[in-house]
Amino acid sequence: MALLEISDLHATVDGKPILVGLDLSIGAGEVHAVMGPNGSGKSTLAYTLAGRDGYEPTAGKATFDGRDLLAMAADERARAGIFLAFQYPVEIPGVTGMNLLKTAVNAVRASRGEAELDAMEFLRFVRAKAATLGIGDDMPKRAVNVGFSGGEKKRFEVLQLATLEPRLAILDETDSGLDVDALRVVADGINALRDGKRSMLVITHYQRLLDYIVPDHVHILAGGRIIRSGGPDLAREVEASGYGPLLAAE
Amino acid sequence: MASRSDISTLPSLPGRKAEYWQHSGVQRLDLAAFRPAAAGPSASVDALPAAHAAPALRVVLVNGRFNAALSALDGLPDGVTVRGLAAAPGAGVVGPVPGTLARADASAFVALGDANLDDGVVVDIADGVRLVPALSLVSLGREIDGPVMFHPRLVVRLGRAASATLVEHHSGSGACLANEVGEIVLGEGASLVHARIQDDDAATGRNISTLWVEAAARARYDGVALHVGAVLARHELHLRLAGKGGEARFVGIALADGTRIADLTAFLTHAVPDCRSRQLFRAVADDEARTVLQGKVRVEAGADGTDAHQLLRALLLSPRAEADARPELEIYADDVACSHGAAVGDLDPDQIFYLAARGIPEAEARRLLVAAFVEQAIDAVPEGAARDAVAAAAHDWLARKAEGGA
Repeated sequence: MALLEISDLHATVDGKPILVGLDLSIGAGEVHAVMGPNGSGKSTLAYTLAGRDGYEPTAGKATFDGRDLLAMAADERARAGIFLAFQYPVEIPGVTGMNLLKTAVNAVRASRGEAELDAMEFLRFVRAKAATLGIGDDMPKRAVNVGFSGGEKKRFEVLQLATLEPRLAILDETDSGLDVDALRVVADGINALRDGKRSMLVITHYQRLLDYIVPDHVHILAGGRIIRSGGPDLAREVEASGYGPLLAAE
Repeated sequence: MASRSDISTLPSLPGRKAEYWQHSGVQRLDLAAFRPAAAGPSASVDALPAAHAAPALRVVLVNGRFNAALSALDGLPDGVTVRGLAAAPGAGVVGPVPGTLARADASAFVALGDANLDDGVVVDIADGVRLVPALSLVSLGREIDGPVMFHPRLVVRLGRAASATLVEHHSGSGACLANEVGEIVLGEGASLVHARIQDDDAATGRNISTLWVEAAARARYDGVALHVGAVLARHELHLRLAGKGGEARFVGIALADGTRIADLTAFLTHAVPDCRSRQLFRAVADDEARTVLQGKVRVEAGADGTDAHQLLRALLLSPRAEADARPELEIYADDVACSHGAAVGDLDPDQIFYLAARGIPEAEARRLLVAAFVEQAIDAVPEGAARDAVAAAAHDWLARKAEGGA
């Protein structure tokens, strides 16, 4: 069975149906891109999988490693190995990045019955991860996302991803708000985490990101369901002709 | 042992409609239930809060009485005197005598304190003297065969260009009503960092404090008041920037749970031009607790160039908790930069979800966010003994809450 198996998923936001029968299957180690125009349900897919309040699954199934994903609380899903990189990372004044990372890692360890990490050891671990992402030592000392530039916010998301080492990373419009240089840094960081075992769901409006993070599979999301699936060529088709012809073919 | 209070000598407390007292809860205070505390009971060094147990500069009151045995004042530099009020001669002081600033007509509690004045502490720091390390003032309350009340007076006078840090720690056990009246006079260019930590008995303690501060030209008052204890607590600050170039900062932190009421009220007056004030209030109300934040800035006619800002924020952690926040500006000058703001709310669900998406359980996420909310106020306290003491007491409260379940 695939790591993530979604079948006929329906979800509503404020009572409004957004996902209407979405099927998607992501195997271990695979990188899938979901592309779609505005309003197609991309962020709803990300939030429904991550378990955000207000994103209500009404029908269908989603399993993660064979477990009923939709029955799990958001924090349980994260501890089970799902990581959501936010399109708009949230500012948390008064909580340092290091404190967030330490609390998150220890929450995962506690759920596995493991002891808390040694603080100094963890600091070294995070610094090493940060260095590979071109992140200075000072960023984890600052309050989470407070006063961060768009690029810094996305790099901090990737640092969290690298530190938490999830089995499935959901990247929600990670390219939004990034210039080309920042995009390259972020994409390099993500590519460094492709190890043949970790799966990724890359959600994007533009093909641009997929030049840097080349997916194994590409899906077109429109009107709340996947209307076409293919290889990387499908992304280039969107780049060349836009979503119009694909939607018209429906 | 003193007899039960004669009700006829007790002032009537502010009623439900008295301005700035509506939410204070003092209406439920029955003064007649408290006997005046006679001479202070014995107490040992073990009774001192940990932060004040190490030998340093320390003055200790027990039930409002100066306790020489527990005080540690040998290390005072020349030019600094710290005395019990009862022993302080009226002559030879650098500023006004007690009663000059505190106005009995301003509050029934001041009238009550005046009528029952028996002891307290007088701190005098001569011109140009810098007092290091910080001076601790520990006020211990001890119930004796039933509820007692006491009315310590605090007088602090800093001469021209003098500086000091004063850390007050109120730690009572049992049903005590501590009614403190304070007067602080800052000479030209003087600078005082003043922390007041109120950690009285959370089930039965009552703590009312009324403090007057007068700052001369270029003087600076950095005050922080923290409530973590007492079932009923109020700290009322009256601060007057009376000389050009004066600066006042006040950080008020009210942490309340159970059925406690914690009130922080500050009246700042800009009486002359070119003074600066900053007020930051933060409150956390859990269970059925109530917090009251009131901050008023008055800019008198002619006080041009005034720069005054205040921000009040309260966090409600339970549907039955209550938070009142009242910012107020009263401006009679033209050329001023003043602002105020107030916000009362729950924790941000977006932040909780962000933390959940990193695997952090909701209860833990909430604890983290409440601690962060409090931490931001602590960060506004000047570094050193004042911040350390406030942080330790606030962290203790947060840890107790964490242990008690979210």
